[in-house]
Formats: sequence, C-alpha cells, structure tokens
Amino acid sequence: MINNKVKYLLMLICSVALLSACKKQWDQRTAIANQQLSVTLMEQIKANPNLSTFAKYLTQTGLDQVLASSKTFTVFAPTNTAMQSLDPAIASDPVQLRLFISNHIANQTYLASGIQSSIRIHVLTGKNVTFTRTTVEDANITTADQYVSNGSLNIIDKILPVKLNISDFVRGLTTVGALQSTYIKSQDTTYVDTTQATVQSLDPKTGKPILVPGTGVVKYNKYFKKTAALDNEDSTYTYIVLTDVAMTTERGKVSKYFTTVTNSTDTTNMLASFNVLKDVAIRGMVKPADLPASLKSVNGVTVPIDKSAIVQTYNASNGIVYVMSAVNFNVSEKITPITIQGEFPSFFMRADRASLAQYRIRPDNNGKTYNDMFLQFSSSTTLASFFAAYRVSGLNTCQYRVYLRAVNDTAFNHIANPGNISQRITFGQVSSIVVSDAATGTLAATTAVNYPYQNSTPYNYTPMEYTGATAGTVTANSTINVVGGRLNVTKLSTINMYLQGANTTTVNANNLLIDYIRLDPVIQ
Amino acid sequence: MAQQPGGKSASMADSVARYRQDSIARANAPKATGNIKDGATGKPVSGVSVSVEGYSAALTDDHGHFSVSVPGYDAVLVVSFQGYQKKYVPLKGLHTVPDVILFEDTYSSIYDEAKLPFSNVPASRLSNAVSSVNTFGAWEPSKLETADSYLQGKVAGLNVVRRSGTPNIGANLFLRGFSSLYGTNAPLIVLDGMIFDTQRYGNSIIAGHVTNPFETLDLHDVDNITVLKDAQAGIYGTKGANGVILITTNTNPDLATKIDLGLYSSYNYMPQSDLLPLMQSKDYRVYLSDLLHTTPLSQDQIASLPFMNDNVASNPDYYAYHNNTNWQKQSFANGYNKNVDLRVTGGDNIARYVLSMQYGNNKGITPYTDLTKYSTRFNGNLNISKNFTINTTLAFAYNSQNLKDQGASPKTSPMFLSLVKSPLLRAQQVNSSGIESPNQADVDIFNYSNPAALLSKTQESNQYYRFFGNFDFKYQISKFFAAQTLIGVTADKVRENTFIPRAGVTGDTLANGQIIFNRLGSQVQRLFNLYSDTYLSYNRTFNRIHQLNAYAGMRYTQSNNYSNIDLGYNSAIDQLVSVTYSVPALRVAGGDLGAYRWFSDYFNVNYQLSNKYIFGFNVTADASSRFGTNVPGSLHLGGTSYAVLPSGSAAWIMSSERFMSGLKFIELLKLRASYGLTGNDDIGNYAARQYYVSQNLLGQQGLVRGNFGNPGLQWELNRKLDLGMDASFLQDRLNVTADYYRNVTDKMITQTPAPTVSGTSYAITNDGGMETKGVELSVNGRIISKPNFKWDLGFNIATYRNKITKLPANNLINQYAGANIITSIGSPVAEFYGYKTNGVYASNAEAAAAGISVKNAAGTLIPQQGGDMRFVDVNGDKVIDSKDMQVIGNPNPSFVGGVTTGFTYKKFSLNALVSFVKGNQVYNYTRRMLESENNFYNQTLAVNNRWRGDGQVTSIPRASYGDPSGNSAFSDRWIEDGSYIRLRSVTASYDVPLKAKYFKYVKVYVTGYNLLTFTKYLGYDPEFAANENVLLQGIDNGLEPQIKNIQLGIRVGI
Repeated sequence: MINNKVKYLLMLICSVALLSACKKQWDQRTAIANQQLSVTLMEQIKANPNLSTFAKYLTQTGLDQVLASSKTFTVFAPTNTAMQSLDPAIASDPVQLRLFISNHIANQTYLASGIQSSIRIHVLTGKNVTFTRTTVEDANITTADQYVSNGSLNIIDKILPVKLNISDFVRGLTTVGALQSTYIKSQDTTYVDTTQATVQSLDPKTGKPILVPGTGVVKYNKYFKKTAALDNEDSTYTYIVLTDVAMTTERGKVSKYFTTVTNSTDTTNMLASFNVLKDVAIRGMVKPADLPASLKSVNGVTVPIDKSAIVQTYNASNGIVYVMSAVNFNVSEKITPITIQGEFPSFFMRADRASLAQYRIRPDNNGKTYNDMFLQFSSSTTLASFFAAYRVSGLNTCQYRVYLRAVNDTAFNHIANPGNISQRITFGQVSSIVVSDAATGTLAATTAVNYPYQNSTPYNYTPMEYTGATAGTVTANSTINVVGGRLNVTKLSTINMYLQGANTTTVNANNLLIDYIRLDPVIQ
Repeated sequence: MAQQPGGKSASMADSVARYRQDSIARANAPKATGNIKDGATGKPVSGVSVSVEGYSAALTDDHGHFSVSVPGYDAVLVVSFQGYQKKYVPLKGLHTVPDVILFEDTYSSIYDEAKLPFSNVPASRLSNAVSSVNTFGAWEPSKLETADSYLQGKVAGLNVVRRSGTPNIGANLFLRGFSSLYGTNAPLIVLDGMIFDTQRYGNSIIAGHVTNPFETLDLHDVDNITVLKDAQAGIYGTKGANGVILITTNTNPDLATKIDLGLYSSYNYMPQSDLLPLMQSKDYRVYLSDLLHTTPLSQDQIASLPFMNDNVASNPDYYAYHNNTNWQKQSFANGYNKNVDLRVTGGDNIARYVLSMQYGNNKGITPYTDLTKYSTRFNGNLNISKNFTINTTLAFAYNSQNLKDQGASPKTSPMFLSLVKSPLLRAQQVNSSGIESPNQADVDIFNYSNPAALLSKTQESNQYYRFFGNFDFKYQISKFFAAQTLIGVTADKVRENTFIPRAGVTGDTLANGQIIFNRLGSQVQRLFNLYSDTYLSYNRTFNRIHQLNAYAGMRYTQSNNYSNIDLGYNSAIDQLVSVTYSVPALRVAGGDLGAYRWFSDYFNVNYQLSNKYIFGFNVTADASSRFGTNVPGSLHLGGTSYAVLPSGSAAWIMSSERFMSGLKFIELLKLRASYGLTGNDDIGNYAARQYYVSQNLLGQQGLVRGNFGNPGLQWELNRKLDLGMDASFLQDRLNVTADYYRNVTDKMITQTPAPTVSGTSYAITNDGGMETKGVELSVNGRIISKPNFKWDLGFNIATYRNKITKLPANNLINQYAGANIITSIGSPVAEFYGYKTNGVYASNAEAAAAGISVKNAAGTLIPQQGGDMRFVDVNGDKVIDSKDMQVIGNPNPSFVGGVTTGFTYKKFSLNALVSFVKGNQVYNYTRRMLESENNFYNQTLAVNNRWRGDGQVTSIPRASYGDPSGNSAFSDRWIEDGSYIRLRSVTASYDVPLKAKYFKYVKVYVTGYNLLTFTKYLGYDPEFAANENVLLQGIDNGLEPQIKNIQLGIRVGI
C-alpha cells in the first residue's frame, strides 16, 4: 500500500517536472536564427583579418564604441592593402585620423542591393559619399551588404579620404583663381538672429529685448546666398573657377554697364565681378568626361565650355570644380531685360483714385493667365492725364528699348465697344516729384525722358514698342537722358517710370491699362 | 420511484392502502438476500437499511447480511445508510443478489441525485442528458472562482471560457456549441427555482470590463449544479434553447445548530517567465533605426532625435530618452486576497434556516483590479402546518471593484501601453542633468501615454448590488395533489465612475473634431425583475409498476431595466474627477429603458414502467411582449402569438432486465433518447415593434423612424435530438456516460440587408439557420479503493461541429480588432478570414521575379520587395487584395474537456482538476501589435530576426513605417493554436484530528490555482474572451491574463 502511494506520488511529481520543463513556447521564436544578427559591426570588423588596420584605427579613435552601440550604421571598411595608401601624417594626427575614419561610417543601414542607380549618403564627417551597387566614391565594393545586428558592412578596395567642399576649396586658392577667391571671401558677412541670441534683459522703456553681445550671430556668404550654397554638403554643383586672366577679361566685357554715380572703380568692379561669377555655378555634378559644349548656370545663363581651357579639376565633397583659363560668356545673356509688372505700382497721381485700380487675373489668347492693372474713371472721379508711377532699379548703364503690353479687351471692363487706349510712358529722377496741389494731394512729375502717346488697339496681345522719346526737363545729377529717341541710362540709380492716361476727362477715354513694361538693353 | 418528499408521501399512502393485502403476501413472500460491504475495506456494514419502496424494509446484521421481503423478483432494493451513498439494486430475477458494496456519500456515483425543476432524480433514473455537480460546500476552490467559472472541466459539453484574470470577471458558458448569431448563447440559469438574470443590460463604460452577475452568488452557498443539456430544457420554453443550469443553494439544513467558519488567505502572482519577451532598449533602438530609415526623415534628422543623440551636452532630453525601463514588469503586482465565510445553520421541526455571510478582499495580479465583496444569504424552511410549507431564499450582495481600461484601448489601457511603450523612456519626469522629479512623465515624443501615470491617476470603479429573493409556498392538497407557488424579485444596480487624467495621457479627438484631454464618465444600470412560478403536481404510483408524476403550471416574468450614461471631457484640472466638472459643451448623455413580459404555460409528465422504462413529456406555450403579434404558423389566442414547444424522452434501463442478471460486472446500462423543441426569446425587446429614435441634425433634435416593425418576428426555434447511454460497471466503480446530439436552429434571427431606399441598413428577420452536432463522453471511476487510500479519476471530453445552414446573404463579414470574421453557409460560425502567407521574400530579386503587388487602402498597387511577406495569391492575378482572402482559422475547438482526480490518504486528501481545449485557433491581436514593425510600439524579441538584407531567410518581414506593403495585414501570421492543458486547481487538505469539546472539525487547505499551463500559444494566456458575442470568439485583445494563485484556508466547525 505504501509502495503504491509512493509510486503514484512519484509519478505525479515526475509528470509535473517533465511538463514544466517544456514551458517556454517563445524560446524557439526569439532565438536568433541568423548568427550574423547576434554580432555588432565592431565584432564583425574585428573578425575579419583583412580589416585589421581599419579595426585598429577604429579602436584608436574611439569610434569602436559607436559601432558597438545600438544605432544602425553603414560602414565602408577599406582592406589592409587599401589602408597602406593613407598619408602617415593623417595616421599620426588623432584629430585628422578620427575625421578620416568617420568618413567611412554613415548613420542608418543602406543596402547596396536596394540602390537603383546611385545615392548620396551622409557619413559621420558631415560629408556625403556617392554610393552605387558596386562602388562608393572611387572605391570598388568587394563584399557588399554584410548585415549584422546594428547595420551593414561593405568592404572596399580604396580609402575614402576626406574631401573639401567647393567653398573650402575656392577659399583656399591663393595663386590661380585668386581674384575669384578674394571676391568670395569679401562676401562673407554676419547678421544677428534674435531667436538664437541670448536675451540679457528687457528694455524697461520699449519692452524690447537687450541681447548679450556676440550671441545669435549668424555667418553667411552673400554670394552663396544669391547663387548657390557651395558650402552646403547636401547639394552638388559643378563650379568653375576663372583664372585671374579670364576673370579680368570677362569683367571687362560687362563693366561698362555698371557705371556708378560716383564713378567708383571698385564698386563697378564688384558689381561686374558678381555679374560674371553669378553664372559659374551649375547644378549637379558634371564629370570631365561628360562635359558638353555648354551648360546652364544656376541663373539660367549659358556657360560655354572649352575643355582645352580647363587648367585644373578638383573632386570636391559636394561637386566638382574646374579651374578654367577662359569662359566666353555672351554679354546679351548677362545684361538682361527688365520687366516692370503693371499690377505693382508705387503710387498714383492722386492717392484717392488708387481704389479705382482693378488688379485682374486674365487669360490671354493662348489661354495663359496674366495679371494686369486696369484703372477706369467714372464721370465723378475722372481726371485728365492721370498717371501710375513705378520704381525702376537695377538698370544697367546702356540704352533701352521700351515695350508696353496692355491687352485691351472687352470682357470685363464695361466698355461696350473698346476703342483705342491712349497712354504714354515717361521717365524721371526719383527726386523730381512735387506735390502740386496740397488740398487734393495731386502729384506732378518732372520727367527727363518722354515718349509720346501711343494707342493700344483692341485685342493686341503683343507688346508695343514706344519710340521717339524726347528729352524733357533734365535736372542736376541726372542719370538718364535721351539718345536716338531712346531711354539712355548713364549711371546706376533708381528712377521713376510713369504710365499716363490721355489728357481728357471724358469717361473711358482716359483709362489706364497695363500688363507690363519691358526695358530691353541695347548691347553694343 | 418516489422523486421528492411530496411524491414519496403520495406513494407511501398508496402502499398503505394496500397494506393489508401486502402484509399477508409479505409473510409468505419471496425474500431477497444479500450482503452489504464497505467499498474501501471490504468489511460488512451493519445497520444498513435495505428496502423496497412502499413495501418492506430490513436492516443488515453484524455480518452485513440482509433478508428482505420483495413483491417479486423484478423489484428494486433501495440501500441507504448515513455516511454512505444511496444505491438502487434491481433484483433482475435473482433471489440472492451479489455482494453490494457501498462507497462514502461524497463518491461521484451513478446514483447521485440531479436536482430537476420539479423533483430530485438519481442519474440512474434519468431519461434525459443531464449532468449534476455536487459542490460539497465548495470549501476548497480558490475564492477567485465564481459559479460559472467553477464549472470549467466538470461538465461534458459545457465549454467554459473564462474572460480574463480580473477577479470575479466570470466566464462565457457555451453548452453544446452555439444556437444563435445575434441572440444569447448562454444557458438559462435557474437559482433556487427562480430565473437568475445573467443578461447584460448595457455595456460597461470601463473598457474591457463586463459586470458579472455570478459574482453576487457566493460559490460556498451552492450545493448542487444540474445542467439540462437536451430537449428537457424545453420546460423553460423560449428560454431553453441553450440549455438550462439549475443551481441549488444551502438546502436541507440540519436541526442542530452548527457554525462553520472559513478563513482564506491567498497570494496571486505573475511569474517573470510568463511575461512576454519584449525588446530592451538596445534592441529597440536598433529596431527604431531601421524603422526610421523608412520614414521621410533624413539621416541628420534621425540622428538629432532625442533618443538617437547620445551627446549629453547637446541633448537636453538625454536622460528622458536614454533609459531601459521594463514597463511590462511594472504593470503587474502580486497581490494578497483575504476572505472570510461564516455560516450558521439550525432550527427545529417548525423552522430551519441557513444564514451565511461572506467578506472578501481580492487584489488580482495587476495593481488596479482589486475587488471588495460583501454578501449574505438566508435560506429558511417553515412548516406552517402539516400540509403547508414555506421555503424562502433571500440574498443580498455588494461588490466594489477598482478597475482600469483593458483590451484594445491603445491610449488608456495601462496593460496594453506597458507592452508597447518604448523602453527608452522612464516613468518620472527628469531634467537635463538627470535629476528625477516626483511628477510623472507626460506623453512622449511618439505620442504614447505613460502607463505609470494611468496606473496611479486613473480612477475607475464599479459598484454592483443585487438582491435576489423569493418565497415558495406549498400546499399539499391531497395524497397525490399539491399546489406550489413561488414569487420572487431581482433588484440589481450597477454604478460605474471613470476618470482618466490629462497628465501623461494622449489626448483624443471626438467625432465633432473637439480635442479631448481628460475623460470622465458615470453610469447607472438598474434591473428589476418580478418572477412567479405556480404549478399543480400529481404524483402517484399504480400497482407498484406504474409511476406517474405530472406537473402543470405557469411562469411569469416582468423585467424592467434602465441605464443612464454621462460622459464628459476636459475638466479644468486633474483633481476634478467628477463628470459634473467636465466642459458642458462636450458632455454626452445617453441611456436606455427596456421592459418585457414573458408568460409561459407548461405541462410536464413523467411515467415509469416497472422501473425499467421511463418516459417524459413536456409542452410549453409561451407568450412574450417581444414576439410579433402575428407570427405565421403559430398558435393565436386573443391576439397573441404563442410558442408551443413540445418535447419528449424515453429511456430503457436494459441492465434491469432479467437476461442481464448474469453479467455481474454491469451495474447499470441505460439507453436514452430525447427529441423536442426549445426556443430563444432573446430577439430584442422591441425588434418586432416599430419605434423611433432621436437624431440630431444641425443642432436640431428630432425623431426619426428607427426600424420597420416586423409583426411576424418570432422566437428562434431550436430542435434538439439526443441519443445517450449511461453505464456503470464493477459495482459503480466505473461510470460512463456518452451522448450524441444534434441541435438545429430554425428561424434564427439575422440582420437582413435592407434596400437603400428604406433608410435603414438592415431589418431584423427570422431568416437564418444553424446546426450543431456533437458527441460527449464522461468517465468516472475509483481506481484505488483501500481503507486509507482512495484514488478517484474522472474524465470528460466533448466535441461539436457547427454549421450555418441558412443566411439571407451568402456570407457575413464582421470586423473586430483588425480581424475579418466570416460566417458563411456550410461553415462554422465566425471563422477568421484573411491572407495566407508563405514566408518572406529573401531578396529584392526574388520579389521582383514573383512580380506580385499589394493593393493598399487607396487602391494603389505597391510592388513587393525583399523582406516583404509572401502572401498567397489565390486567384493568380499578381495582385494581393480582398479577393485573395481565405479562411485562415476556426475559433471552435476540436474538443474540450477536463480531468478530475482525487486522492485520499488517511486524513489527507489531494484533489486536482485539469482542463483542456484542443484544436481551436485564436487571433493574437496583442502579438500583432508587438510584431507589426510599422510604428514605434515596442516589439517582441522575435523581431530581432526581421529581414535585414538580401539572402536572409526568415519568417519576420522587414521593418517599414506605415507598412505600405501590408506586411502586418490580417493574415495567418496572427492566428495561433489556442490549445492548452491546464492544471486548473489542485488542493491538498488535512482534517486536523481534534479532541476539543467545542470544535466539530478543523480542516486546513492549500489550493493552487492555474499553477501550470501547457500551451504553444504566444500570448499571456490561451484562455480569454473579449466578448460574449459568438461572432467574436477567440480574439485576444489584451485583457489581464489568468491569475496564478496559492490559497491557504482553514475551516472550523463549531
């Protein structure tokens, strides 16, 4: 009986023990099936004897901690053979070495097999590298996409030296291209960003913040801002550096269009330099082998490329730089027409009539929409010779042809049978405006260049040239005059332009209508 | 055979009338002789009463020998003795019966009495499929058990699915599968002769919670649970379609005053090994890197995120996002439970009573679901006169439970959030130099709530009261006739209050675009039921061979329920927690009023011939305010449609025939058959009527038509066929019951799609049909029977096959927790419907070669790439869309059952219950959230095996934010085998030997509850029920897992 009892008890205990041993239904599921997924990048690199130099430097620079961390990386590990080409000067400088090694590591896992043609990825130096299925920069990938727990490892046959970006390269030029380099450096400036500055206190009177001096200062380059961000690692450019000779030549071609009021040579040089250099940056990286006969600059100007004029080529981290001894720009593309949109007048002859102006959005005969201004009087508001004035600046010192586009149609302007609209265009100095009637606020313009009245005929969609200008009142220090019946700009300045209606008070005979006025330079 | 006290007196009277004749006959009468022995010791038992009912009686002598006069050799001897089981011994023509052995009275025997609606009948005399469970006071089970969950593994064919591990949350009961799609599938509960309302009148406003009426019934008060599985349930007419469970409490009090005191203390625990294997910070951050790589963020943007920037100086949030927090561990807390039971019984021959009181404080395994319960019950028996008795049952219970949101509430469920919350974060706020604040951290950069804030600041409570009481008056009119009437009342109230704070919790947006921060709610549900049951009974035995019991009566129920919900938002501060402080413009008020009446006339007759042939017949005629006024083909009386539901049964006790007398190893062999109609009246209180609902249009409140009244709407009709066998062998040491059944539902309620012009999306009609077939087997036996050592083993198993036979449309697809659930003709109810998968594309080239695209929600085709799931393209059109969905899982088990076993060694005993479910498939929604790899949820360690590069063969797809390739779509990846075997309870008890004067007994118990579970399921626990709805079975949406519990108890009798 006792035997039985013991037997049954033992049976029970055994079955309980046996069954509880097979408890963990998760074990099989959570076990790492692929052994590669249980090692980190650092362990994977160390395990490969052919990467021992790279591994040594990783440890030396402390980057091994990064590769063992719980973030993901793409690593381009040069073989020991490739590492032999590393400059000993870099290897012996801890800062340089860390930078160099960082250039082989990128955040996030990028798989070569997932690349369609090529991608640019950011490495830890902040630079970008170009990554294709088989290459990274100039190096070939011998073993790609070794995935481990925290990223993927690619073994490459060349090192990836840290490259300068275009900005740093150009700034570093001292001999060839010195003029361009100097110009670019001269455009460095700063401003204070109040949102980034530290507030010291608030002015008790105005309530405005008083900033701690030296905080919130943001450095930037005016030239980069207006052309291309050559110091940005994330955009790629093809950039042309002109030798001093070429620079001087090109500048010489345009400097006569930049005569200043004070006749300052320096200012003219600066303006002309910008006019030349605004068109030496080209979007995207065009390799020497792919260079066509001409490229389009970031500002849309044709850049003629003479391959024989290439003096030096530099592969920058964000593009490619060509130092060229000649780039023969076409002046007509550099000195460009100026268009003044009619819907943005600066002021009117009388402010109280401003509300009569209709700013319209209309389709033209090709269905293309344009914006214009139409000003129509009623019998109670009508004024003779009413004008709208526009500020015009940025004119080069040359002669200009004047075109007006005013599409005179019936659709919404309440004229049963549109007749011609008679208008004239005049130019005057900014200072030559006076208040002729203080009671009504009527302004009177003294003009130096007067084009005669011309009719805009109905349904004419092409701009109409104004000709036969006559000289008006020429004030002292005048910057414009009439040459050959055309507007001639003699000095860089801002001038006023007036569009004036007919000298009558008859309703609908003195309307103003303007899409735009275009000033075409006459290149000589 | 007499069936109850009333019946007994009637048949006794009959025999008195024949006394003179009998006494002469008895003098010369044939005698039957035999010996009575103890089943354990094999020694003779003296003083045992051996009788032929209404004819003669004798006692055994010192040698256990008896000799009793019998009217003939077809008579049945009734053997009874205190402390022993009662036994029926048919003579089968023998003059000397083989030795009769008796087991103790707690032995699970074929002669155990089932407590049927009108009488108590030993199982050996039943003509229907009935299971009876005697609790013997239920002193041993864990106090976390309620009467519904207690039945798990004990009754063949009753599938008990416990809802979750929240204390007293109860279980879904499915008796013999399903019968209805939209009506209830729960068996009717009759407690002490009165319907115990277990319907739910409105949902809880606490996510994932259900109020369980069984928690107002203390298991210690339950004596017997009898389950009517077949057409006999038709005696409850249109409430019997899902079977009937009859529960009896505190019956038969002794005259002597007794005090029982029980003290229980238990410990709930969640072992570390049961936690899900989630990623820690290291793995999680690598996963995040891979995931973020698929977002539009640039390398630099990713590197500067606060959890990626490892530079303490440049990262002010370094300490807030560089942690390794095990949130999951924090969401569990082992808890202690304390329970006290006191029971006083006593009385005299006029009045007897049982008074019981319980107090309990149960903590659960999470720090937020503690339950405090108080209950009291008074059962009294009054003998007003010789013929007039009154029985009464009065019970009142109050439960107060603190809760938190559970289930699929991604913003407010602390349990869910503790799984998905990033381990990089910490519970408390921290400043840039790493100094922790006492304040809890707010919502994180991923916009996930802080589970710690929810755990400590959320206030959700449920208060539940129920009064359940009745008086049962009985008058014995004559020897054979008696009249009885029961009148009772159920008064029930649920009050819920909720508050979810603003701090640390993700806000939400209402349908009208209003942003909400903190959420407040209040709900009251009331139920008032009046119930009466009045009947006449007639019990008579003719010529000792014809025994007739007939009952005719009527039942009446009037039910009124009421609920009122107030939901509010955005109280000014988190200290204002009452809904009255919410912003008035955002407040939502709602409620419900419901009432119905049910009236049932019934007639029941049982007839036994020669103790061998048993016949039963029931018929009911039900009227209900729920039925349509003009049900086609039904009985109409006075403008009312009646459900007339007849049923019948027959049994043949084959072993009582003389030709069986030679087969001594057969104790009993009985064949049964029953067939009949039952109904289901759960068709909606007002679905047959036409009604209006309120509607808000541009700020104007108005009434619109809510439905089209259906005067033909009727009860669901359920036809039950049962063929069964009860057998007992080796002197009652081995008992076997087997049943085959077929339940066919006609007139099943469906939502028939209505034409668009009708303005309603569906109409409620009787257009469906369903069929459930099944087999049940239960075996009980005493394997070892020695004086000091006994071993009992019981086993039951049941299986069913369910099939939809009729639907208005070919199939019905429901969505729940991201799953598609299909119900179609010819298939079981509620199968999972989604994509099949076949691994992961190992490389881009392999995916390109397959050329398959996935159609996303916008209809765009997304070509698959390396690391995407290889979905099975069923129609071969190279596009994965809804046409490629197929049935991927069936939540119905192949079989369910239980094993009970008990050892007794001297004063020690050890009882164990094992329950098992095999072959059901379940949808693991929680794991889907933890392995979807498409958002910032923490993931399981399996996700470390995700696809990383070409050539990697794995079953886990790549991480991809927003999942454009649909890798985490509802597919067989999330369907798992829900089979399990569980050591549900094991109890060791010791009867302390006492010589003290005042103590009758002292018993000490140790009970382990859910100690061992064997399963392949990858969630916390394979047993759960997110919803009672039959269409939503087998969906694990993240409820509290089942509790492991060890209880120490002591019971003292004075």
